[in-house]
Amino acid sequence: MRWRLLLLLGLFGPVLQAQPNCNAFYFQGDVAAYEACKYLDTATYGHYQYEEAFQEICDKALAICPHFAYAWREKSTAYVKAGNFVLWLKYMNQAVRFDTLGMLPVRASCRGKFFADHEGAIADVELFERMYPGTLAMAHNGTYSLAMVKALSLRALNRIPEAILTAETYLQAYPELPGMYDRLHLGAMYLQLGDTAQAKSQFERQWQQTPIAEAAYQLARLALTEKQPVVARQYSQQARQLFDAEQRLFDPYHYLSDQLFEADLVALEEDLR
Amino acid sequence: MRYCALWLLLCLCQLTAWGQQRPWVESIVYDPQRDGTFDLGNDTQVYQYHNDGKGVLYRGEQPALHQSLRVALTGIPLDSSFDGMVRIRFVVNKQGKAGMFRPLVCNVQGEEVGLEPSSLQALLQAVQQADGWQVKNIDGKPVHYYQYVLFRLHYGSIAQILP
Repeated sequence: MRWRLLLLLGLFGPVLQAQPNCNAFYFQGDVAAYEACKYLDTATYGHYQYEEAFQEICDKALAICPHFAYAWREKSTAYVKAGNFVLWLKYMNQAVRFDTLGMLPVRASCRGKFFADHEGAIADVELFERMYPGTLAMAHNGTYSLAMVKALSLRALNRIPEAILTAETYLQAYPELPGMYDRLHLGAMYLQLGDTAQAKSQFERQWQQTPIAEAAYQLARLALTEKQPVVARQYSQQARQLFDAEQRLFDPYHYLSDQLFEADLVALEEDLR
Repeated sequence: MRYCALWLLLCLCQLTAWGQQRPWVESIVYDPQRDGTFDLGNDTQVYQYHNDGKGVLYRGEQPALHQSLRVALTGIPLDSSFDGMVRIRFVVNKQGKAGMFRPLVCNVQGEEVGLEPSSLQALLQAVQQADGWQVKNIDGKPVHYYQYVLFRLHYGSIAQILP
């Protein structure tokens, strides 16, 4: 387990975005970024990202150091949450300009999730792949790898075979690093193409790896089509238990692809009666 | 006497809390001409939809929300030259009623642009008709909150609806 964690940290360390370590700028000889970072760190204490005062503090930090990418991202955050594409993109573009390695994955993954800008998300992931070949990066909140972000956006544009290829290529290249819900999404993509055998295999792998209500629900649905009511009922009951225990896809900002809803579950339960 | 002092202290606390409500970006100001009888009561503090950490709260969840919006827009032709997003932001009050709707229209380059007025009107009406927003609570008490619906429009068709 420990080596796995080390591997993860080693791989994702450079592209994980948390609060910056101000001292790191100092040791890199970037005194302006160090000063801006220290200022932002203390001045924003007790302020909320949505406050106008918070924006002003970021502006002051950027007056100290215009290339301090983190302050640009902080300015963008309230707007991504409020669904304002105009101002979010304006500030996020600056963040990407000054820290492409760190911020391009954030821009890529927020485009699809918060704005349904899937063409833009795919273009961003491809730009990242060209600029940093072989570098693994994660979505803004760490749920998905950038490859899965691309796969989900391809799927949203109904380019399912490409989406499957992208997800499969990633999962084969990094079998030790599947995202928490990657197999569920991949299974659902196969299902869209009518490949129930592959879909089932992916849902089973999801079930073994991270048993969530969505996996049990999909397996119940497949068992029902395969005329195996006993198996279907078993999975349906497990789906209900997990759903009620909130062991399911969840996001504080949006509904997610392949998320199970109460209405779907009720419909399944009625079909099994 | 002691109760009076306590009452005074409580009032002072409330005043301090009031003073701490600093202006937020993206806030919507009530406009009687546009917003009619929509009521926030005496409490003007409006939270964000994500402040309770419970995600989007709509009766019947996403299927019901999307169904309501799509039904309202059935058969209505939308601007066939437009490729971009329309975000309609609004306030859900403590009674779960939505009001103070404000649109933001932009293209995929992130530039504010115009949309055919009849299309914008249809989208606004569709969002106004969706009446399943649920009450959100913060610290066990109902609050007003900002919510939005975003349409990704692609040359006359609705490519996606968020949330």
